[in-house]
Amino acid sequence: MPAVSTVHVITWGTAGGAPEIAELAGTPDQHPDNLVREILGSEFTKLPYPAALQKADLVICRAGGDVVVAERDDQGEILSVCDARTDEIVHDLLGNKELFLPYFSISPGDLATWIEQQDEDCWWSVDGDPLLMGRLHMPCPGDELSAELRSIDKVLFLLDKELSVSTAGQWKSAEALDDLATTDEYGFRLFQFCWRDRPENDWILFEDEETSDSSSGP
Amino acid sequence: MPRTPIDLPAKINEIATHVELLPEEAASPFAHYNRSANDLWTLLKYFDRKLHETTFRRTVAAGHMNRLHSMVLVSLVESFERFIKEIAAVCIDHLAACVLDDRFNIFTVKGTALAAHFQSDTVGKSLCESDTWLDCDEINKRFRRILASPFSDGTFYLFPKAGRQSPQSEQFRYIPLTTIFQLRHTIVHNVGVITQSDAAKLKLLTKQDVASPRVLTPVRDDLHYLKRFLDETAEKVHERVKDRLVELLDELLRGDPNLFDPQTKADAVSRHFGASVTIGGATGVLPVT
Repeated sequence: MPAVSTVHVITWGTAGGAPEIAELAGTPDQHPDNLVREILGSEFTKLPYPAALQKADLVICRAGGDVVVAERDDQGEILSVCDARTDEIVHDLLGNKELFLPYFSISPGDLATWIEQQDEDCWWSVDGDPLLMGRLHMPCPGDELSAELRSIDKVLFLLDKELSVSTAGQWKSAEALDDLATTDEYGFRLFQFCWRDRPENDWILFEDEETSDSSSGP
Repeated sequence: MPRTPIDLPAKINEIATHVELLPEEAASPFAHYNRSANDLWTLLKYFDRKLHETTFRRTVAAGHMNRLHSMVLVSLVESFERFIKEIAAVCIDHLAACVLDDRFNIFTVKGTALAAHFQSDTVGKSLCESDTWLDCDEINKRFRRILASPFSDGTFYLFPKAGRQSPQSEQFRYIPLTTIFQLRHTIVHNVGVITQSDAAKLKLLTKQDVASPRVLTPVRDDLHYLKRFLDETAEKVHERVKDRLVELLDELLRGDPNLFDPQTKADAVSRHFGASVTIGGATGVLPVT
């Protein structure tokens, strides 16, 4: 386990706004309740790492109420990310700062168009969005999801998987979504969104391949 | 090392204070059901992803996943039960001030239960919440009375049985739904052990041999099909109950044009069902998303 000497907080201010990077006072070990020990003791997923933060050993990001803590190894690769949404220690550390991750803007209609261009046997699930999860039965085929998306007159924010510091709410079209999709550990496509009017509520859209076969019927 | 004494009764009391606000969609029974059922499905997918990331022992993980499947099955059925209960309560709330007959005598609410509801809940909730809604015959009996034309026994069957109950196109739901309620019973009351009496009931319902004693271990596809059946049933229930309630309110308004303001009623019913309805010629307006 690498020694951790600095903790950086990355702050995007408002959604898509210019980021600010600040070093937390003191070493991580001096923070209350052994925050760092807690974090490094867990198992995490990989996350693309912003180039501007290569010097940090530990990065804390927050999108609304969603706090993640990322750890870097000796080679500068991200080892781990901790979803610390409910972690009171992390909340205490960050105080009341409003932090947001970098997002692109996209219309639900463009997302619907992209979904319609995918294989029609592909099914989808949404995790964390009260709006779509209250209206659809998950997992659902693409045509049901796209029809529902077209009925919503709002703007979507799509998390930039590169966490680029230059990402500041630029509009993206349906054609760009192939490159903006990330994949989970099984190779299924996955996006992280929030609605522009509810930036504190991140949610994910993922390809629900496991049920695609059984959903198609015998 | 001896365990430090803890005031466990006080800790139990604390559990009831660890709460969150209801989600917005709780105002509409169907949206509330969808949200809860979808949350259960995505919970499984979430843990799939997390387990894949770890080097956790696969056999240990598989054992835990079996238990999680059973828990999710029960929660799916209970989300459905709550949906049935909430949609019944909505109907009662819309009808309570419009009918004089004895239709609500179908409920057996005790005074203490009623008193507990008196301050904040609706008439519908106070009548519906103390009963369980896990028996197709009992559910049929209640909805038939709630949605009956004035001073009649009613003909509306939510889960019609094969035979005399209509509509015929909905009869196929009765047996699978009864089977689902029985599976829930086995998991909840026997921690998943199919007892001899459970096996006998399941054998009759499913027309196949069911071994006992055995531990029920539902697989992922079982949950997927069960959820899909409940989703589709909830959607149909939502549609049929909405249509029958609107039909009944129309009928009541024709009998007494001053019974209620059609626009106000149409707006309220539309809001509860998440779809615009027309009552007494007035079309309900839905809130903007």
